[in-house]
Amino acid sequence: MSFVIDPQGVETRVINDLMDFDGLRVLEVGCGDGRLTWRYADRASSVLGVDVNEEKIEAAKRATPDHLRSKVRFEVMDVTRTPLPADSFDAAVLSYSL
Amino acid sequence: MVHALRQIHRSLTPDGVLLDVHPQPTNSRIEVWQDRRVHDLGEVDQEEENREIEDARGRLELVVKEGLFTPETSDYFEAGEHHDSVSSWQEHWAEEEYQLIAPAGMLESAERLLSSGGGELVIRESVRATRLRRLES
Repeated sequence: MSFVIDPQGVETRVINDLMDFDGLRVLEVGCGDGRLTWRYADRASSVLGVDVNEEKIEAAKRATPDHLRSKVRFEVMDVTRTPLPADSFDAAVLSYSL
Repeated sequence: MVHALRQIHRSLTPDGVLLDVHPQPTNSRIEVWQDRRVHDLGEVDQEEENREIEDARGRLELVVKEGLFTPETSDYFEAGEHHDSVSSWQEHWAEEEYQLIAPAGMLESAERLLSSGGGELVIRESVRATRLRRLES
């Protein structure tokens, strides 16, 4: 299986135009394997990516580039069941979820 | 799931922002790209996914009505999924748990084109990205 999503980088340009991620603490809900996370994580201060799918989260952890490991983490979490800490994030990203 | 949006609201700082990235509730177009030639093979039937997308939009509209968020701006773009084979497309969609309901002959046409002339199988999906500002509830 060989495929590429958005090779022209249109999605990257649009989401970074809509949101200035510079220095933000970001919560990404439904992050899956981190496909969208890599499009903005460089600019963020920190990223917590959560998803209910354990396999996807494991894939996201494996795919995390070395230079992002200190600020990006992924957790298996169902936000409808696990309380999120209050006032903890500057931005939230809903990527193809909810 | 509205509960999830309320949770997100709670987790954001007072002037926090929410970026919602969702496909449009429309069917994806399927094409084969070979050199400068585009073969349009039509649309796949995504009725079930489209209904789920409409439901997700409804949930977002509800929390806007509740005064938790206010939409600031939206943009629309086309996301392309480029596969080197029909089986790649089928495997990827199976992994993502998307239903692949193609009209009769579409997969065969794509196979035939790719095996005779190479190129890429391209799934074209319309996406909406919306930025919303958190409001005090």
